[in-house]
Amino acid sequence: MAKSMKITVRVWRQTGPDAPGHLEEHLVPNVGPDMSFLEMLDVLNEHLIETGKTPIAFDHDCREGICGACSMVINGSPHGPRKATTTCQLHMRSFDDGDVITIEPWRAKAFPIVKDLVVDRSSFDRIISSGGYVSVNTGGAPDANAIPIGKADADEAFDYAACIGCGACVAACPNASAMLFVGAKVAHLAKMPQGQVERGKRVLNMIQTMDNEGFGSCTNHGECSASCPKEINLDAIATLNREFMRASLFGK
Amino acid sequence: MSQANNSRLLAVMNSTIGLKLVMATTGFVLVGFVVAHMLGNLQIYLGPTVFNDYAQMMQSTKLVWVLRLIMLGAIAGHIAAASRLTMRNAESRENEYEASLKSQTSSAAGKLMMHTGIILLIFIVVHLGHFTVGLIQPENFHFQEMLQGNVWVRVPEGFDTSTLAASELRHDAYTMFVRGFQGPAMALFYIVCNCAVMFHLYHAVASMFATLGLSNRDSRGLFKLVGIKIAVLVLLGNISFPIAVQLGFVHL
Ligand code: SF4
Ligand code: FES
Repeated sequence: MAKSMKITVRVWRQTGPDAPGHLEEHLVPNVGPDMSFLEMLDVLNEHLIETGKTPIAFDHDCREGICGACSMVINGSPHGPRKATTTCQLHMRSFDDGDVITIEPWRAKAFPIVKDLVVDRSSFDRIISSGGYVSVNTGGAPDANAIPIGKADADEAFDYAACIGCGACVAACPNASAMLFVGAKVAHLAKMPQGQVERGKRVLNMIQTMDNEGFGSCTNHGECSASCPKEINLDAIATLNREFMRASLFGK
Repeated sequence: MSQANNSRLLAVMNSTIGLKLVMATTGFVLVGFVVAHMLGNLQIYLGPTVFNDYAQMMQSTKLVWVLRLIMLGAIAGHIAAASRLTMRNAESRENEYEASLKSQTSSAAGKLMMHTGIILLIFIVVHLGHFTVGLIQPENFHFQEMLQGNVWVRVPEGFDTSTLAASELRHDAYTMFVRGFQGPAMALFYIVCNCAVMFHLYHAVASMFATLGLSNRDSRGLFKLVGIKIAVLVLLGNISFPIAVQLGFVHL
């Protein structure tokens, strides 16, 4: 068996949305290098429960890098130090024996803290419901390839569709801006024939919701894309700006 | 314009992306001016006649007023949009991270845009007071050249110009320029302020192209390089003036 490590975590504890929070320190003595980061937290939580303490609340679901739930900032990096890797896919071998790891929730006005590391990301849902969809008549399912789409467009749309809505872009942005997320959604649907009908309305409405939710604005630092576990390119933001200009000038 | 159009325009201009577009378009005008201004002033190295011809040409055309109005408008728009965006961004993250965010892509120049911008504003006010209206160091401002035959010569000290027609007199910008930079403190002030200009442009140019939706994964690096080159060339050109006067290369 691979050698076990001693890890000290300094983790954000906050009992509720309005409660004051603080960092709490715990030693996790038996961390295997093949554990995922979340498994390390599971081990710590079991220990906390056994000793009658409240376990650390954190979001997680798929644990395979596709749902976007496992939000936490690890040593100042959303989803931790590895490129293109969600927290659930991060392994403890990325850390060294004796490391002290600071774990915090996403911090943004639009993502209020629910408890400990859990934040409320329903502002993203409201952005999506204001335009991140295509309207399709109900009835029998259409044939998959009834509307042919060029390979280049399909590839590009797919790259943008890879966004899992995790919010790391917001967490990493010095301005807590959601432009990469909104850009990915807008760029994805603008590339598809199905997205054309609502194209103009979509971008204007989604940006209005984004602003109303209190996200900041882009100052072109590029931290979002560098932190994105799905490596959404900054082109998403340039496309969002273009789509916005197009819709404001021509109304479509 | 109809009411509906009006309110759409208002909504567009109040949105974060609308404000960013104001930043980018006014910024484009300002960058263009700064580059042209530096190139025009390089004529100082061609001697008093060429430089004063250039100054006279600029003064005599009505266009200079159109240009001044455009510049004032661009500066006002740039500042107004920047203040609104900065205020929004300051509110978008109420609680800072305990372990500060790890920068992966952002530059100091990018993070200091507001700071260098404020220095620039002070610089512009002082510069206009110094070389455009002559309120600062007026003793260096009010020099004139007079026409003798068909050559322009500096008006000697104590010479009575009241007998000369207006067409026989012109502002001696060359002497003002040299005198203006002879004081070491003033020369240093210009050098320091131009370093702020350099920092501002370092981030501004690439950022402008991104906001206008013109850059993509293939061209982003090129725009960044172009921005850095413009920033450095403007710096070198502009600081060469006080340095050349201080070292006596450019003299009366
Ligand atoms: S753009 Fe990337 S970082 Fe942002 S929500 Fe989507 S997957 Fe997460
Ligand atoms: S738990 Fe689903 S992406 Fe990490």
